[in-house]
Amino acid sequence: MRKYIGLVGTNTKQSTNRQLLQFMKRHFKKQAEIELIEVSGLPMFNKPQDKQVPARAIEIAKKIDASDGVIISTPEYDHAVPAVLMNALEWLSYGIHPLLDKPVMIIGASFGSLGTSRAQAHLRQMLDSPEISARVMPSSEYLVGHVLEAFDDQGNLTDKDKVKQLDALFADYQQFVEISKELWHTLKVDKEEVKKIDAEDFK
Amino acid sequence: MKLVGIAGTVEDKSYNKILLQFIANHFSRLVDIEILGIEDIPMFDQDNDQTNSGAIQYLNRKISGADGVIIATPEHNHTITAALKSVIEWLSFKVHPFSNKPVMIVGASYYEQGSSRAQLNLRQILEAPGVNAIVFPGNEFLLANVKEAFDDNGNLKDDKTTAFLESTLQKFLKFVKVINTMDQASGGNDDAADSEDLNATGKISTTIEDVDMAADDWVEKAAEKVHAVDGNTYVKLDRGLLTVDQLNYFLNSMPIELTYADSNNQFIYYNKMTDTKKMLAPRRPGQVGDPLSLVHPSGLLRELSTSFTP
Ligand SMILES: Cc1cc2nc3c(=O)[nH]c(=O)nc-3n(C[C@@H](O)[C@@H](O)[C@H](O)COP(=O)(O)O)c2cc1C
Ligand SMILES: Cc1cc2nc3c(=O)[nH]c(=O)nc-3n(C[C@H](O)[C@H](O)[C@H](O)COP(=O)(O)O)c2cc1C
Repeated sequence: MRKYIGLVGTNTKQSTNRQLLQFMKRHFKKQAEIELIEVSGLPMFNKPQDKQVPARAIEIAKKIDASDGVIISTPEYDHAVPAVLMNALEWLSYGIHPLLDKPVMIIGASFGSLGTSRAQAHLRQMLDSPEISARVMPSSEYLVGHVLEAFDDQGNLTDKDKVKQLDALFADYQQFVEISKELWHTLKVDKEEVKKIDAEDFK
Repeated sequence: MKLVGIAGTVEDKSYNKILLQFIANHFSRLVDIEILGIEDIPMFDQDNDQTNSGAIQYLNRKISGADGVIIATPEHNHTITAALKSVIEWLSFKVHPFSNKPVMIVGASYYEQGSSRAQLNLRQILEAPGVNAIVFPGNEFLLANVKEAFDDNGNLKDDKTTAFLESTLQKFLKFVKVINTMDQASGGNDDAADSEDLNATGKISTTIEDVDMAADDWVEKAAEKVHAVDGNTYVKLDRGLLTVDQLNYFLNSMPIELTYADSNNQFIYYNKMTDTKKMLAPRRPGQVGDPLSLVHPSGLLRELSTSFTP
């Protein structure tokens, strides 16, 4: 069974995006193992001259390294990814690069009707940057709008169509993870490339 | 005019800080720019509202009081730094100092692209409804390959780049004037509209004193008082010469109704292009000179936003 990390892109205690990942963990437990990881609690990224990355970031990096893929759930703040998730991604691309060539699936929930479409596009753009270079699943977008009404008391998605859509997307993602494992030719080049960038960014 | 500048970073050593400092020093004869630090602003957290902390209130006050803002943004992972994003989140949560504020974006980066993606992204963030800034359109200033750009004194080495920066800044200053004028005409934000003096009891340098503002022949009396010219007399303009008759012909043939209210809220001109009855916002000749409180019954204040104020 494949093992995935579910990255919770927020620091609020009551988060529908965390709820969405918790739902996926339960809902897909026969097909895959999903471990939720919080991104809060990291210090503000300040490009430390000594290149020292906080222990917590290294711990997250190790878990991502050991996983087969990462599912990131992002809220939308000001038409973009919340600062707390951006901050985690900065630490996770400063001398360490756990997301390099990792298969990533992006999901998001918002109170409004657009369901984080802009935040997801923003996140995709960040994950495409040379410092991160993740392998984001193409042409997939899982948006949950009007999320305050989306879950029942047990934390299950009530809309059957939404669940069906998620099932299909997750099946595709599992396939995508398998295909990605075949795409190892660039990995070595990518690693060398990112080393060069590190040397530049550290200066 | 007074601007504030923010470098989107919490690092001590930052090329964007150097760039902002250069702009503030080098163009000090054009405009006063105060640089604000964001080092003390914590990570945004909805559950732990820090809006009333000294650090956030300081930024809130400074930005609210400024005529405009310049933001110098680094680029990390194709976007702005989390540190800058966090500041914007705090300032779009319970307080909204960027609302209707003109903002110019500049940026420096190590690579060829020179923060272009971060700038585009910052623009999108600043225009989100909770932030509601008015971002200076076009006119990108990107400083690529920044490690080679400055000399030891923090001055830009390339004169052409400095000249381009100056022309961009000058255009922005004009933009700030236009935006703030529109904002004043519409009464700014709503509480400002309530407290605004529409009775024109103040006095500005162009106010013509000792003439009854409400009088129907205010124009004639005021003209006599200041010896206003008319008819075939030439007036020198920026740029050209027209007689008063030509000016009238020109203004009255405009396809829009122009209204000029001065910053003391006195209605002093409209282009009498057609009969009162046919006008979209009817003006009577006798109204000219009136304080706005007489021209606009209080409920009609919004209409002012389409008028023209200096
Ligand atoms: C500062 C701030 C800005 C926000 N901006 C947006 C936005 O641009 N679009 C949106 O859909 N929701 C916005 N929201 C509401 C979101 O919190 C909400 O839609 C979010 O995605 C729900 O995720 P959560 O339950 O995991 O916190 C904003 C909230 C805050 C506090
Ligand atoms: C984690 C990280 C990611 C970065 N990503 C980018 C990038 O996507 N594009 C870029 O031009 N520079 C990137 N850089 C390099 C510089 O930080 C960047 O060019 C910056 O704008 C320099 O400005 P500063 O001296 O004010 O920090 C990155 C640096 C770090 C540490």
